[in-house]
Amino acid sequence: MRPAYQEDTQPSKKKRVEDSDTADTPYIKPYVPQILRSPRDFTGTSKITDYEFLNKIGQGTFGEVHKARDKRTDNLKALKRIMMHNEKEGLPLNAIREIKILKQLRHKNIIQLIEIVVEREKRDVYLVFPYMDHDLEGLMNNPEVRLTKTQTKTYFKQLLEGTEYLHHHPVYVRNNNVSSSFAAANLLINNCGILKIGDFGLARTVNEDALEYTNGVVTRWYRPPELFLGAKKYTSSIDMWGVGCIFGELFKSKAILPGHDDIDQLKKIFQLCGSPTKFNMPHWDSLPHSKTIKVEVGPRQVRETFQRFEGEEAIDLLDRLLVLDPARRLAASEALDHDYFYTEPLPIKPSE
Amino acid sequence: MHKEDSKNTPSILNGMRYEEELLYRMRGVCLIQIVGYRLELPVHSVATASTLYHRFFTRKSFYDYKYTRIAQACLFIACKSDESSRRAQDIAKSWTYKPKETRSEKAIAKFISDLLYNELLVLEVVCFDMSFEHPYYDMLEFVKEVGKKVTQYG
Repeated sequence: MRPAYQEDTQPSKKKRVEDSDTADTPYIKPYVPQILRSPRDFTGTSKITDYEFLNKIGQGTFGEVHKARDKRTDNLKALKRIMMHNEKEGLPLNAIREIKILKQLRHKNIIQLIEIVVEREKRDVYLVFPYMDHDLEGLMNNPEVRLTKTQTKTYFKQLLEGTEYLHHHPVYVRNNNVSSSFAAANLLINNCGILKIGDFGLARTVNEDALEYTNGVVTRWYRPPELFLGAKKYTSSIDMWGVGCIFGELFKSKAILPGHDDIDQLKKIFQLCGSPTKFNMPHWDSLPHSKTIKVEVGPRQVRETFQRFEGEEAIDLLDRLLVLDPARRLAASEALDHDYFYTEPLPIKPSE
Repeated sequence: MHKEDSKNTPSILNGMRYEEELLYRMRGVCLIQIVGYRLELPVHSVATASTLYHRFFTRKSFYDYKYTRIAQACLFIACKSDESSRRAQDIAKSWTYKPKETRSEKAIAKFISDLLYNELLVLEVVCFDMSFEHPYYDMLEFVKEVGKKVTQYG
């Protein structure tokens, strides 16, 4: 990807000479040496003095997040400071990964990396994001805010659109998908009602060819059962379990599967979705940890648990997302086609 | 990038000859390749490092920055961004490698601190663009295609 060039503010000598030459041959574009510009003219990096720090908002995966005002445009931005705790290895790998992924993604429901601020003397690197007013977790915990059915539907639709984009984006020549950590705290919402997926600190590019990754990736409450059972292959269906959990959370206003350790988490999943059998989760007994975990036999209760919250279509969609077998879980594009989004109340435009 | 940009790089504007600049570019890339070979890096990472190196010196002059230092930093970044991470220590050792000589601890520590400083410098100048589409994969496919045709008709 090449950075966009800004307008040349200082017309060079060369340019003027070229202009007079090309007066009678208007079809040839005059050549302006782009190299003459100072590197500050390339977009993508800026100085820390362009920002005025306001207050600390939170703690990200690898650094603090500050609210700041851009002195040039007067807009509010969120500055995420990358901690250089491991001084010996320079910029941490996670940060490089996140920058690389964010630079290639451009979608209205995914947080956009505006620029990067480098302070070389103090060895500080800040990532600049647009300032978002809320996150989904905060909204749901706030007793004054009650999400209406339409709002729920609109937010969830945006989440699915963002997810679909991620799953279909060729992030890398050799890699196919991106897998991000879905959790309510990572879904940011601004005052215009736009939801954006944020925080790719734990994301990594996924290769369908069976690259094996550690399974400590998705936040525990949103982790699918196959990861607890020791599956090491990453697919986009892992994200869809997280999306399902967030969908349930939108109705219940609190986390639906709050396990306090891995075993407890798995127990809660099987309580809700029934115990794994040959029929609802083929090959589950071939996963590495399946022998060590005792499973209590129980029926599937997704429909019963959420009966009192929402309409028939919503429960049907949730029922298809929270499926034990990763191969049978709905994909993001399939979920967007579900009847839920085509029945009353219809999802509205985010600004309304 | 315009074709004529290659004759108007910052180094040339500072008074370097075109051939001289090409030579410096070649030296830097050679260094990257040799060290990449020693570290047993995949070709992909070496290519990324070379691209970073070229990009850096289309924006900065060879007179202002020492090309060996920049080449080190490029290799270090390429290692990290292509998921084939090597420790800074390893790069330091294989960079200063000479057959019958062991480098002192102090020299290596100095090397690493330089490396970390230059890393941020390079990243800032290339605007953190670290994902390149290398033509080699398409080229490989093409060669395979041609090979098939040749065996069919030849």
